[in-house]
Amino acid sequence: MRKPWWRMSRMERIVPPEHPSAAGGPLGELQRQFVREVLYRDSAGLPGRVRTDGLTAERRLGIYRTNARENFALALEAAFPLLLRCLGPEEFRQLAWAYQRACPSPAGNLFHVGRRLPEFLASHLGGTDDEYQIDVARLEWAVQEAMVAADGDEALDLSALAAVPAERQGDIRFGLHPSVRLLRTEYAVFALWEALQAGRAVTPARREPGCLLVLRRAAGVELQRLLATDLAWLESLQAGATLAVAASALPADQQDALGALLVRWVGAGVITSFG
Amino acid sequence: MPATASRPVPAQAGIGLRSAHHDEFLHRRPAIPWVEVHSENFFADGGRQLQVLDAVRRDYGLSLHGVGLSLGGVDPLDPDHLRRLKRLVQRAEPVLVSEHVCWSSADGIFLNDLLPLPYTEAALSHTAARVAAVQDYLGRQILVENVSSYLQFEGAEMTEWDFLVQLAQRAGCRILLDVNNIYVSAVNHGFQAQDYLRAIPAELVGEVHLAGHTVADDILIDTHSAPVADAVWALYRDARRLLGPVPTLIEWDADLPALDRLLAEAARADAEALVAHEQNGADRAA
Repeated sequence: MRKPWWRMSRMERIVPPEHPSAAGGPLGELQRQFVREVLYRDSAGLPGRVRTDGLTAERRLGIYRTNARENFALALEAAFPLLLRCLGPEEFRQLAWAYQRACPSPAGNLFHVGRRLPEFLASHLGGTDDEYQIDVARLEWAVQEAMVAADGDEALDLSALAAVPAERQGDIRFGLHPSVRLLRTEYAVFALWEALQAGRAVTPARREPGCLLVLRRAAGVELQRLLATDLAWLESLQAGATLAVAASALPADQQDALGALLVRWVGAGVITSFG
Repeated sequence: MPATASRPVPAQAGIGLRSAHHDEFLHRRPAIPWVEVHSENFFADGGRQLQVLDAVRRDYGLSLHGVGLSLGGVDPLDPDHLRRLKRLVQRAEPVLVSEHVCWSSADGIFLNDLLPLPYTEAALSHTAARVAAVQDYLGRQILVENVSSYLQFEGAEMTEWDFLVQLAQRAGCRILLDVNNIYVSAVNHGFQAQDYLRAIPAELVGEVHLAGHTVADDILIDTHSAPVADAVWALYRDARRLLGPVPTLIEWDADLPALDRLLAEAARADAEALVAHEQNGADRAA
């Protein structure tokens, strides 16, 4: 059986930060020792500061080590259900713990633990048979961000838009719904997402570049496939471009279809404001 | 620092409301007076979670219970975490806001666990100052909860219960007394749970927690994955005899059972409180 890449020796050499602070006096030093020991088994001084009372310090610290790993892995599993399906539970756990040592949780809110997973996978999976998992993680993090994004406006006020004088229409800046995330992918991960939602088996994605839109609606997060031209146009709007500038991103043969594009994306709830 | 709320949290049992039960809870609207949620699960800028919370708080008393503020940590308090907590408090107007007497990060690395403090004067003064700072920022009083622990540090200058009481007195906060955590730590460290209970002034306690734990070969682990143990129910009766009326919460986070099972645990908590009340009455009559 192929050895999972995150069990390779280079992953085992992950070490804690080299230049820890000296803040907090003895209490701070104790807490830094504790974190290094629990995450990296790298604090010779800590066990001697633990009261044993019938159990070894290693046994007592081991419970915190297990808690830290489990809490982290469970949070990742909840945020990356498709990647979990791709890897299977055992390999996902191994990935989670390697990732935790390389990119430990940055906040007291476990939501944030997955933020750097796409970047972590990209640094290890490029050029391998598992490269598609980078796109899987990027897609799932975009879904996570969409789920917690602001609610924004329900729908664009078309009557107000119609009242803008023709000579000022080129200066309009349209706003996308705050949950909109736009992705370019190298692999056909949309099909994997559909398979997960339908409860079907998930197989490795084939290489097929594509564009995706992630949007949260009342019923939940939705994914749509996009044409590359649509993605570029929406990206320019999301970046704050005026309608005139965004229109210049469209191919020449689509300039006349600008009105239809607007109607389509306003109707889809993607464009929700203007100013 | 007055707190405001749309619905009261009476001295009865409530349940910890988790996302797996949201739909069923809102559909059935069970006859329970209050619920508690984990604050961090509602730190979002928008979306369904907040809509659920808005719907729940209209009909139920609400408590916000945090797990990630690291009150005893030496890293600076996370301004984004505090900002989101304050925004949530302003939106939901909970009756109770609570956190843990613990720490969870060092050098910006979070273990996302409720880690034990050394029971020293230095740790006490440090934690009390941070609790006071949090209360000032939120503009209201909070409750702090005793945690289960699996180790103690050498060089303790006081007991855990002395630390907890002094923390509340110095910071001007109240205590969320977790009876299961007292039991778990008492077994793990060999102290008498009754000593702990008797040291806690009733007027400082604003809420009680009950939960299940797991019995390993050599230690108890606070897993919140099981019914409340018989020994913890017995300790709860003792606690209620000492504390009098106080809101009590059933926590269950892992291996979550059916909603009805949680409601049944809450009903038992109310029944056990009644037994404790009657025992007090019988003692006075005698």
